[in-house]
Amino acid sequence: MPILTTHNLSTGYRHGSSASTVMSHINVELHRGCLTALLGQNGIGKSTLLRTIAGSQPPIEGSVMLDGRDISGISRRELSRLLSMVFTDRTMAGGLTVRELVSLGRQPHTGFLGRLSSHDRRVVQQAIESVAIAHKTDAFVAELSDGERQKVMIAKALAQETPLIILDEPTAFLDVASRIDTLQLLSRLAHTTGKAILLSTHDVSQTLLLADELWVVTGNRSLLCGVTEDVVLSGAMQQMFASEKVKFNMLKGDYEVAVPTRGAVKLHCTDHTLSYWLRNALSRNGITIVPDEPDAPHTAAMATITATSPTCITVSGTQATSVAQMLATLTSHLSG
Amino acid sequence: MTTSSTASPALQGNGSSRRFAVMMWLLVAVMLLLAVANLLIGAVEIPPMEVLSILSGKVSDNYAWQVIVTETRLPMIATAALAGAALAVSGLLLQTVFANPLADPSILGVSTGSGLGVAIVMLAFGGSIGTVFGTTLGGYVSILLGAMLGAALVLLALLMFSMFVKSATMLLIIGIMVSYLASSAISFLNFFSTEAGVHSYVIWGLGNFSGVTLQQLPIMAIPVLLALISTMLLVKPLNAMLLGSRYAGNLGVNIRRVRNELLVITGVLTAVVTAFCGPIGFIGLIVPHIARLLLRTSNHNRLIPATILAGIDIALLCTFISVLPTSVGVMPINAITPVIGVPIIIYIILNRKRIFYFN
Repeated sequence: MPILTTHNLSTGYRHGSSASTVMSHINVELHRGCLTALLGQNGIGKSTLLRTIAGSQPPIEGSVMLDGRDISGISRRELSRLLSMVFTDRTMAGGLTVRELVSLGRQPHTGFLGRLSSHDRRVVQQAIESVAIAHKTDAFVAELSDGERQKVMIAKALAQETPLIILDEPTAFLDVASRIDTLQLLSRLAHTTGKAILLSTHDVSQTLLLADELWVVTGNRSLLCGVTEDVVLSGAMQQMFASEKVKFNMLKGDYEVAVPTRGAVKLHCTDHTLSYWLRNALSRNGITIVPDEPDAPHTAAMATITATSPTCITVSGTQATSVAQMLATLTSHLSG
Repeated sequence: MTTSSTASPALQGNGSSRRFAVMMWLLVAVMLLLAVANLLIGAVEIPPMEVLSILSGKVSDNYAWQVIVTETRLPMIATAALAGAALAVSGLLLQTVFANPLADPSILGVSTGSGLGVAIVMLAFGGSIGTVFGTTLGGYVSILLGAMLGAALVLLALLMFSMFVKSATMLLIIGIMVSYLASSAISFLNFFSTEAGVHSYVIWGLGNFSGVTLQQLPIMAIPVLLALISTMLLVKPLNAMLLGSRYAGNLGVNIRRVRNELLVITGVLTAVVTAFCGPIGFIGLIVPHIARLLLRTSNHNRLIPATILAGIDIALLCTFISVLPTSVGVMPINAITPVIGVPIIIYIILNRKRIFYFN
């Protein structure tokens, strides 16, 4: 059974008697043990959707069912044991140690004064260990890097012991290494702990490698969901941006700039890496590659490129010793 | 304040609780020392043995000494201690609630709001603070209520603005503006008041811990102690609020309710002190920082008791300086608090990048 389902959900804002709907007719599920990624352009309503799903903003229409119950009927205290959140909010927690901050995650389980039992302490220790930050347990949060800080907030969410964790752009302010690290951590946590983890992100290429399921908000605010590869192969990624200027490269799994075509070439190259980067250089310069078949129907190719190493590239008989020279030769072909 | 090195985790853990114990004892020792100093030394020279004998219950041959020790110095020490603890804790609560390390009752205009309440009540009674203070219990209670109402109004206004103004700095500036408005209203009231009224208002505005008699002390002590106890019971949500309201809400904290409770507590603490001692600046601002720097933590569990003790210490220190023998008697408290407070605040602002609890 999914941990969370939405039924004909519409998100948006009420202003008195009128309401402005952001997204409508959302019917999605979150599964245990799955890392689900919410993708979509800025301002399209990702955060509104996350807030509505987390019960902190009432839906315009429809319902959110968490653990089989309507989320609007779940008390604040109970909700804090079912769903934990990670934001990128600035905090005043620099003067707490990592252990103290992660211990805050136990608040939904402790009594009026928040005293920790030995069980609570064990859960906190485990949470700290599972995000691989144990060596900083007694360091001040202020002393941590952004990536470490985000891990501590994830450990806080783990210490909350909820079946569902929702993260709003957890990788937004991180450098590339920390982004990959954080996403890998979330993927591993989903698979090993059996929790459902939902995150919103802009990190398309990393997400496509690690997310089990995708929720893609298209340019016209509809939500396309499914197992990552199904969503990608259905062409949903191209609908994420309404713009003609970016296009999704199905082979790279990332967006790239659409450059107007200036010409076409045939490419002979058996080395995989070399071939990949030659294609990169060509497409960046608006040169497409036509299939290298003897009886290809179109003969628009202006040159045939044969490459065996980065220093040995032949452009229709002319020798080039670098990609730069290859491009220069092609440019002279184009202008000539 | 450099950041801590990466010593073995276990050692550091022990270190922080040992540090807490050491600092608490230190603060208690300083408190006792200053209390004794305030008993023994003052504007009038009394032999120490004589002070001790009066304290032990013996009636002194010198009636003036007897009165000075039991009816001036003792209540003054108690008043300073209560006021110091109250202002320090209200500063701490405001800093946490508004997520702003520079918040305190005087900067945010809460003290001025209380002052306005006091001024209005005075005029309604048709007299000056001096005469109202000198008279009935009813007079006291109405001054206290006026102060609380004034504080509540300012806190309510701040709370309302905090819904629209997300920037902590902007909110601080709004607090300062509200404070100016209240000051302007007070000026108006003074303008239409009698000369004697203005004089006693100015004296009250200078701040002093010696205006509360032994008989009046319970009226000040009871609300302050109740508010301090209530604060101790809110340690859990206070710590959650260090993460910001969204995180705290997700941890099950009823943000709106807790924030209202905290503002009521802050209002009571500030109003009581302001009504009895005048609007006293800087103690609420600096003491929470002193406590954090001494303890090296933002955890309210340990921070609240340390803030209370440090608040008492600072207030007793100010009192001690104020009664140091001069030719003109007791110096106003508000002449002393900035001398202690401003260097500390500037130190903190200059070193904020290196102080562990920022960001």
